[in-house]
Amino acid sequence: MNATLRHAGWVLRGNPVTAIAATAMLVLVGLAVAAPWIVPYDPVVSDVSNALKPPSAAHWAGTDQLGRDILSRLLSAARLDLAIAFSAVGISFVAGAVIGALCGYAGGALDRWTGRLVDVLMAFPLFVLAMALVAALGNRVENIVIATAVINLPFYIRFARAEVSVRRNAGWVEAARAGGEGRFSIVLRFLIPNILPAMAVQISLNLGWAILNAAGLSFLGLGVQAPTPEWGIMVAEGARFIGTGQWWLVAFPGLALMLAVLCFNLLGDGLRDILDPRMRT
Amino acid sequence: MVVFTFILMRVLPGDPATFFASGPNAGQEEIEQLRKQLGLDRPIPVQLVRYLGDVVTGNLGRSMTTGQPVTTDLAQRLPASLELTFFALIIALSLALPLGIAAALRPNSIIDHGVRVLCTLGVCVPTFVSGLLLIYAFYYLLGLAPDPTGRLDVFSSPPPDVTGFLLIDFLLAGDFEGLRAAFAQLVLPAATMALFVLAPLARMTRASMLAALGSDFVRTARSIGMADRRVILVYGLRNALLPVLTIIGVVFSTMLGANVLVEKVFSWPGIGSYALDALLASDYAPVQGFVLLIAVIFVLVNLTIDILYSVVDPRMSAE
Repeated sequence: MNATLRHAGWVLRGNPVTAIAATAMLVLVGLAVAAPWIVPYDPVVSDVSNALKPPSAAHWAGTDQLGRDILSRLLSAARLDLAIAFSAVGISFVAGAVIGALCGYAGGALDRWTGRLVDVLMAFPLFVLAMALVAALGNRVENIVIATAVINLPFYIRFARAEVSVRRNAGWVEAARAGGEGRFSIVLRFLIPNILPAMAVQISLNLGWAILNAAGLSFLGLGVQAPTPEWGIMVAEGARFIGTGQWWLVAFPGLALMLAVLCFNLLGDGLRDILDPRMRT
Repeated sequence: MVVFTFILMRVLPGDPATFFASGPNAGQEEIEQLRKQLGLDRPIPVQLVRYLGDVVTGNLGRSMTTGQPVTTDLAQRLPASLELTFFALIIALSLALPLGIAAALRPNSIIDHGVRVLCTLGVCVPTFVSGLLLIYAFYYLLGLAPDPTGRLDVFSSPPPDVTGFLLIDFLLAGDFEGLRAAFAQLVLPAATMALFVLAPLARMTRASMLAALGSDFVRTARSIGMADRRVILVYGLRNALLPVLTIIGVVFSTMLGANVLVEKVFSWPGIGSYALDALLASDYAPVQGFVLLIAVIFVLVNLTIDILYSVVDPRMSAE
């Protein structure tokens, strides 16, 4: 553990971009958690006399068509967007790791059928699949989470399966089997912990993608509904005013989305360097 | 896959018969009649078998919102989407290949770092944001682009319908004024989509070019004094194209998904916006048809790429 930390410190020193990304992500999560207490204005209360004002000292990011403060809405939205991304990726990681590891360890019919199901899922463009899922399950936030989790699932299943089948006959698995551990116990207590570091990289890269997906769905009017502050909805509402030059309605939520995704992607690349030196680019 | 889309759409909540009955105070009788007409009174397996039969005979059902058969609607709108997607792919490739090659020729140079920064940022900006910002810059600020709605501005008349691809149709009709108008409408949405897929293409080109340029045959070609241009384009690029082709397949799939977003931003009358409208109106048949069509296109694209493999690398067809 100590050696890992030291290695992490060494990599971070040599790679300031990752350190910046990690700090930025911590700040982002901190802002999202603290949002209800630090927002300067109520994010859903409208003030029509102040509508469509450009950024100023009172409203740093301007106001939208109902006079709501965009900065306050951005901060509250961060909470929702991050929560959606984290829970979606969490679900698909847990489910994918367990299913994939069982398939990789057991093989046989289970493996074949899961493999076929994964192939069917991946035969669709994933964003289209997510759209159809949200429509099928109903237009609610939980269903955005589920849809995003489902379209991420194939990657985790494949990844866990490949990593586990490499280790299936390793000495320490053999030893656990000889020691009288059951199948599930071997998979859950020995194999999955062993593939966790490699999966962490996948998780970080996936979080960015999950945020883009959730925002895209809300932009289309699926999932999160107005007036709830959410980055995708804010862009969708601002879209009506872009042709008349009110750029701040779109630019700031867009910037927030971009920064969040950028943080997760850079962090993922950095994590790869720390956890898996073989895959260094 | 057909079965999967069918099941997906049948678990949709909301009864379409109630939705499309004449109004909120439609009688129970009318709803029942509509349901019978739509075949919704039968058990689900019976509906599935009927649907499979219909798909085989090319009947995808009727859209409740437009009142036309789904096949007709999709056929009308598909060229718009394909024109947009292909044009975007051409823009992306014509930028990504030179950028990737330039980066690979001088690793760790300013060009290389610039390309890397561009790629890292490119994947982070959602298409709907970059599209809107392009509209702001080129329509509002600079006034270079026309009103970003649809495939043609209101002053132009559409060309005689031959292929459905406006650019080709205008060209066939010899109407260069129309060609210019259609092109102006197409550039912004296509550029939006191209920006989004530029990153994976350029990154893959760079990586595989680096590998190809580091190989023995390139060193040999250089050592016998062959011109740089020939070494890079014939020996390097030809060998680097295979992984790039693979990634084009992946990129195409992402583009089909991103189509929905871009078509919505630019009010582009393609299959994506058609399916989205149907989806929001809980009109099953068009959505089913759309998902099916996308899957078919996806399979065709992968087939084409497999064939192209053997063109690019004759060793592949020997197996």
